[in-house]
Amino acid sequence: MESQIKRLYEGMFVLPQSFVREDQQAAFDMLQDLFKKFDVEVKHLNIWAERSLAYEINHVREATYILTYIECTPEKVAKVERAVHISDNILRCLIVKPEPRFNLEEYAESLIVVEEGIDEEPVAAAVPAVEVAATAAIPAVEVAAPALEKLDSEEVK
Amino acid sequence: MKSGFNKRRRRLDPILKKKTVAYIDYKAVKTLSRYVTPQGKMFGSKRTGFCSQNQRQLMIAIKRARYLGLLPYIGTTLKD
Repeated sequence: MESQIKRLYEGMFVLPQSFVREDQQAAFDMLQDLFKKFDVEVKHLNIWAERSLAYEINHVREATYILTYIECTPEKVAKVERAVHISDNILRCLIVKPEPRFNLEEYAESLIVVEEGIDEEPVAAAVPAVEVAATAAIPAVEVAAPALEKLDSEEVK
Repeated sequence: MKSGFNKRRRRLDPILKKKTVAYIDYKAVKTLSRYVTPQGKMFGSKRTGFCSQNQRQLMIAIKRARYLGLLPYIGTTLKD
């Protein structure tokens, strides 16, 4: 019996950099088609980073990471993953639950701010710091959270 | 602070200076790379200073990052 409850998932797709640079829209369309095929609702789809891989995958060294947020039933996740394994152009995919206090709207807003100041901190924008969501139960975290973000951005510079 | 404490092995915790982090994400590669050796092995909780919850989150985050090619399974020192 299939579950009917939809929930939010975070999907990271690793594509060869050459493939995405050749035609970025085609790469996006490929993912969109994949989701459409399985009736998965796409909430967010964007390039997260362009990095060299820590190890070679299918003779590819440079990769583009595409971060997506999708809403679907748990069974659909398995189907998407299976389709990705068969696909030639997607090296890896990881679909997981986002962190407990994740808010997609806040995340989208934070991206807009980052784009304005992209000249100053391009790498920090691409690789956000450890997500430290302050909980009411642990007030100490609230104080320490900005310090950690600052530390990460300094280090990136 | 003066005696006893300094004799122990230094923990990595001064970076965070707190007991619990709400969540450790696999996308924070710079931070994660601080908790692995140059060979790519994870540090134990004795070394990181994390509580067991955070240590488990760290483990999951590092393994996810490895799968995506963000962190190496085997570090540079052993590859050559």
